[in-house]
Amino acid sequence: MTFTPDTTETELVDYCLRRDRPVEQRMAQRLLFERYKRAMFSVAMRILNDYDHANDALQDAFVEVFRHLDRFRFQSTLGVWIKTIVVRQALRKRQLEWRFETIDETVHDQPIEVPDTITGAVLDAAIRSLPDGARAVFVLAEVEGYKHHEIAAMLNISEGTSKSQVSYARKLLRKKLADLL
Amino acid sequence: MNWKKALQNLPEHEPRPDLWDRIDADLRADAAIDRALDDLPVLEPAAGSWEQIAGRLEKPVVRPLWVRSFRWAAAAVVVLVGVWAVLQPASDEKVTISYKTEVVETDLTSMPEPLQSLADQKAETFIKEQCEQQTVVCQKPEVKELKQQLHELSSRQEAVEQELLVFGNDPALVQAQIKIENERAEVTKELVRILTI
Repeated sequence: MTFTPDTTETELVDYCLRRDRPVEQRMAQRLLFERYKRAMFSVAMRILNDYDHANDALQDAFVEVFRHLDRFRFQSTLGVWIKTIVVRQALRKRQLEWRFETIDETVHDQPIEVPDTITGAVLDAAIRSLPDGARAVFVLAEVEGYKHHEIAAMLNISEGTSKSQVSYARKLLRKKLADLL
Repeated sequence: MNWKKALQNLPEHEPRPDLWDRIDADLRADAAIDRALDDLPVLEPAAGSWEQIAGRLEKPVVRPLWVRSFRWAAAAVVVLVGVWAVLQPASDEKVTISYKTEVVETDLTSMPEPLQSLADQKAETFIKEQCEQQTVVCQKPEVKELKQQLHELSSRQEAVEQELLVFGNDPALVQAQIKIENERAEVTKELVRILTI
């Protein structure tokens, strides 16, 4: 089997499961990792805001992916399935450390002007400066598209807390972006 | 004026004059954030990530202590049942079978050995016969598990044989074939050992 950039995900998954062909199996696993590593590392890094922890989470996640790939039933895209594992591993890194700040209602007493032209890099910096709990919820809801009931289950919080933390994160972001620019 | 009428005539209050400006600023800020969300940078993991993952995949999975303890407990029960079964009146016939395992050296340049040796066939026939006669022993979890492993290995062996026909003596295939052969021999040996206790 010759793997090319056009090799489909289904073919790669098939070869990742071929224990009887260890050379091709490892090659397919490597290709799958290469395809997804940046997207998945970005998720882990935004949740954890710590380079070493994010790399650990990525490693743990992909080991889990390859050990349990036989459970993937193509009911979602492979990327979504891998992301679920990456998110879980990232959250597990700080399981006991997630703290959700009491929302400060006095944040931004004055109208704040955020320029229309803020870039992704600037926003990324602002997201990283958010408090841990608000950042994790904001990333899961607004960047990764999880629903509040899913986030509530992942972080063992109420849906209300998830919603209010996103709102709080947006409020803080407006202020931080205005300060940054 | 009754209560209902009073409620209907409550006075209206004026919000602060700049409230709309604040709402407008928030909406524009949120729109700018939403646009930038689509443009977040993609981050790169550490350079040696794959090597570490591949290294961990090579290692066998270590089961948690409680799983291993459970297995020991299950094994103890099996031994007790086995002792009880042995102490039951049985025929005087003594069955002996010798079985030898040879680990095949991984020489990728040589042709694979004949797939199923006479000794393997004899051993498998013996296992089949014993299971027909000693139904209690063959219901033991470890015997069932070993028989299942043997079945899976046979299936894998057939698959590799098919691939060898298609791809020729591919080194990875030959290596996989040798590995399966060695595993089959070990499993068969263990089954024979249990059935001859």
